[in-house]
Amino acid sequence: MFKNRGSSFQLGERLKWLKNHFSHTSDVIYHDFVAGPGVACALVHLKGMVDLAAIEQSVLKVISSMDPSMSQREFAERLLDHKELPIQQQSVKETMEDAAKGVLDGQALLLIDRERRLLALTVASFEKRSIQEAPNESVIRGPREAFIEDLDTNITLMRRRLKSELLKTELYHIGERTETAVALLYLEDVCSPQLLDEMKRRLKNIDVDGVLGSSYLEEMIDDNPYSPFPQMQYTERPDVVAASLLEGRIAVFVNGTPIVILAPVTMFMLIQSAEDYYQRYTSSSWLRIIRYFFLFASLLMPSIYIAVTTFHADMIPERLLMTIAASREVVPFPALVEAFIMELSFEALREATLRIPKAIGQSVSIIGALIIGTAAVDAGIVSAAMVIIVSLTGISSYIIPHFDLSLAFRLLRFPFMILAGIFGLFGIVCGMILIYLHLLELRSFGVPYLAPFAPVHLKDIKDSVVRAPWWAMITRPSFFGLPGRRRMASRKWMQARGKDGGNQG
Amino acid sequence: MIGIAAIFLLIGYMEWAYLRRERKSKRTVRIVIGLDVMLIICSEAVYFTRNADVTAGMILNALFTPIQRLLFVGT
Amino acid sequence: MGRITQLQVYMLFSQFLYSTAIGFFVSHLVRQARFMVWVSVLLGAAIGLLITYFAYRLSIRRPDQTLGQYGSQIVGRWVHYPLMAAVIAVNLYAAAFITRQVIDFIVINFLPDTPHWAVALLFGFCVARGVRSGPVTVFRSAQGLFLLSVAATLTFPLFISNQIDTDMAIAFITWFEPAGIWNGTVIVAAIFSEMAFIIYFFPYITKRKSMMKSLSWATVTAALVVLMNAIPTIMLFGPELTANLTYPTLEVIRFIRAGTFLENLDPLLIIFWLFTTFLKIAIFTLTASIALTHTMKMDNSKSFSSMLTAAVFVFSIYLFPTAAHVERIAVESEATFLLLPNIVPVMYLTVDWLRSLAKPSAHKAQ
Repeated sequence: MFKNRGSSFQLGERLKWLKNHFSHTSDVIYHDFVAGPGVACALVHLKGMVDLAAIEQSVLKVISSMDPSMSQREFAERLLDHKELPIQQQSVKETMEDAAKGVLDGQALLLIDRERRLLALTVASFEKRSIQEAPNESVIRGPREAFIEDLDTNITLMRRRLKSELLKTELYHIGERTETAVALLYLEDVCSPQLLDEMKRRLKNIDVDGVLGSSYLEEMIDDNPYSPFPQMQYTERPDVVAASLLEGRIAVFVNGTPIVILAPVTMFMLIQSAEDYYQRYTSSSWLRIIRYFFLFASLLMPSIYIAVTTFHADMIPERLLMTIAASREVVPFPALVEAFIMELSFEALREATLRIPKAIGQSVSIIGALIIGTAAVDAGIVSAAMVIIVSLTGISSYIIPHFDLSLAFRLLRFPFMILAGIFGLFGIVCGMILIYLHLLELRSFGVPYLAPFAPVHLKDIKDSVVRAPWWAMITRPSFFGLPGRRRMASRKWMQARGKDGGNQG
Repeated sequence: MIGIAAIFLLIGYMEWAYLRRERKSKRTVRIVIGLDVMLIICSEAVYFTRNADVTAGMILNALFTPIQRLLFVGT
Repeated sequence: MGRITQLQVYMLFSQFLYSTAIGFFVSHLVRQARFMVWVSVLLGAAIGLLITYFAYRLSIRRPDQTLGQYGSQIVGRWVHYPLMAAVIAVNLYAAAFITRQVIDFIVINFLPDTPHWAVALLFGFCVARGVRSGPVTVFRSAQGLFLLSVAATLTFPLFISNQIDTDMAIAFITWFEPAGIWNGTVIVAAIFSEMAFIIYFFPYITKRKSMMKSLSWATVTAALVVLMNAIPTIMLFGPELTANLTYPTLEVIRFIRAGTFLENLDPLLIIFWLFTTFLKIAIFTLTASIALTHTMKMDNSKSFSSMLTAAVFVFSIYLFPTAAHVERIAVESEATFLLLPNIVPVMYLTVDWLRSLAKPSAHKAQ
């Protein structure tokens, strides 16, 4: 803590304190100069975090050209009280500690000799990524913009979509050492105050060294940290966030990551894709049904194969049974072990693909396919049917739009395989009962995870397994948000045409 | 026999830990542990009589059968 | 946490009632009532609903409490506690019996080399998980799968419609055997009177005045499902064979030939039926757990749930030596031990009513 000796607030002492505070920090720049009125000043900032041109033009040049006859007191008054420097964001710091934090935040600090207060100038300028297409949530028909790491740019993207004074942005700084800026966005007239209070309460109680990504926050504030199922949604698309805010949800933006988290969420929302809302409702509904089918396929296909071939072979038609039996004849392992070998190999291939350098990625994929696919079958280690099952399962898992949810189902596939290997279809049913009970109890900020099916909200089924046409989605979802859920008047032009007496000509 | 006792002991321990975590009263803890002990005894008794000529289940059947005969007609 | 809605009550009790009725009771019903099984089902459902109505009348007098909590005020401690102990014990016995029937069904038909204790361990774990989560979760679980469950059970007879003997249909009107009808009615009444369990869940349920409406609809739905299974079974196999088969509904499903793609669809079609048996066993165990909790003047039944479930499953394996013993008990005494605990609320209501006549000021008004 800075302790001033006497009442002089000598520039040299304070610079010395700063240099001590930022010891072994080579990227802090200390620029001493004398202002026009002959007052000693200093500018302290981080290299690479400020716009040097703006500092030269709007700070140094202006100060140097101030009236030399001005007294030190008047000089300080004009800068600190009247804020005469042509920079939009300026703040007066009362303590050295606050000022030092400002430097770390990208502000330029102006110290004036024999003046207690310091002026922090927001002239931040640093390299950041340009707005690009969402790499993981691409759509054919909708907008292509995605968030970037800079919080201000991301909030701007939201402001451009929601031009309402009721869009609120509340800023927090979380992480003792990282002081990561975290912004809470919500629509005041739609978002439930209880939900908002609960979110704020959870964020305020985070006590951690650093927050480097939104997943840190997610794990700290979700309802059940032991569940494999995600209780918050993440997205990198501004349109998805805007749509969620319009329904009464809250978005949490974290500086330094393009991934925004949304709460609350239900399992059915995690299976929806942004594309669903840009295609016609018939196609979207069909695709959603397909997605649900493959969701269960990704979880249960290997287990059903194991159960049917081991315990319930009488279910399979004769010809297919003979084909399967012939392909399994040379395999020395039971179906369960065979499935495990294939699934684990597939998992290894998937993980390796993420980390392989791009240059050799394609050749390794081909080798992996050849080794695992063809050679293993030819060697009699696995059967062809198992390769097909595992491949289809792998493809099915990528159909789920939300990656965390697909990971959860990937993880749960293995216990299901064990249950199927020991107890057949009965084991699978028991596994499904256990997962079903878990999902029934799971909540996301108080919202039941399986809403609108359990508990039933009939009106909200219109945007779950199927997507009702836009003109039919008159009300917002009922399980969060404020009452008074009407969001549109359906096809007013049709009603207006009716009043006018029909088409002209 | 050991398996049955082990299951109940494990459940008893887990419930005791849960009650302690939730800071429930001593009376509650006594009742829960007491029930656990009682169920171990009942289960072991049922287990030991499983191969007997007359098991506990058949005794209970013998209790209810006369009542059913009264309720039914013509049996 | 949440409260149980009337829709959840309807959906749970619909599945709860028909679950073992179509799985295990069809042969006993047909053995007694033959072609008049539909009369037994309708009469028995009505009697079951009547018994439930009495339980409802008792519950509505003290809607925020359960029988375990206020029973001692009605009949006195010396009657109430032994009676509740007996009710809890019989409920656990019934749960164990039904569990054994389900385990036998699974082991005999689908897992012939698997030991009973292994199947019991797995199923017991599922039931324990359900019972521990409490009545709200169990009722909600019934809601999520209701449509699929009912649709699955109603499709069984549709697939065999071209193989049934329609000439037999006239016997459903001309056959008359009053003793058999009455015995079948008693069996069905025992099953449908299980709705009297609401007396233990009453405080958890919202809009209680509409309770009888929901339960009536549940009765209608369950009766419809039972009839839609029993009648085609009789028309396919005839009453004699149906009465002598252990699992006639399973045999009906095995008759299904859905094209050449999938034969022997029984494992697939029983998936939803298995879930309804899970509900049945969970509700029986939950009833015992909640009754015990409230009788012991405690507020949370979670601590009892796992150990009572474990006891149910241990009893299910070792109380009944063989499947033949299980079958014998099903014929000789099952209707009684299912019916008796549901008559207890009627007894309490009678005493409470008599006491209110004697001392009108002491009666707690609705």
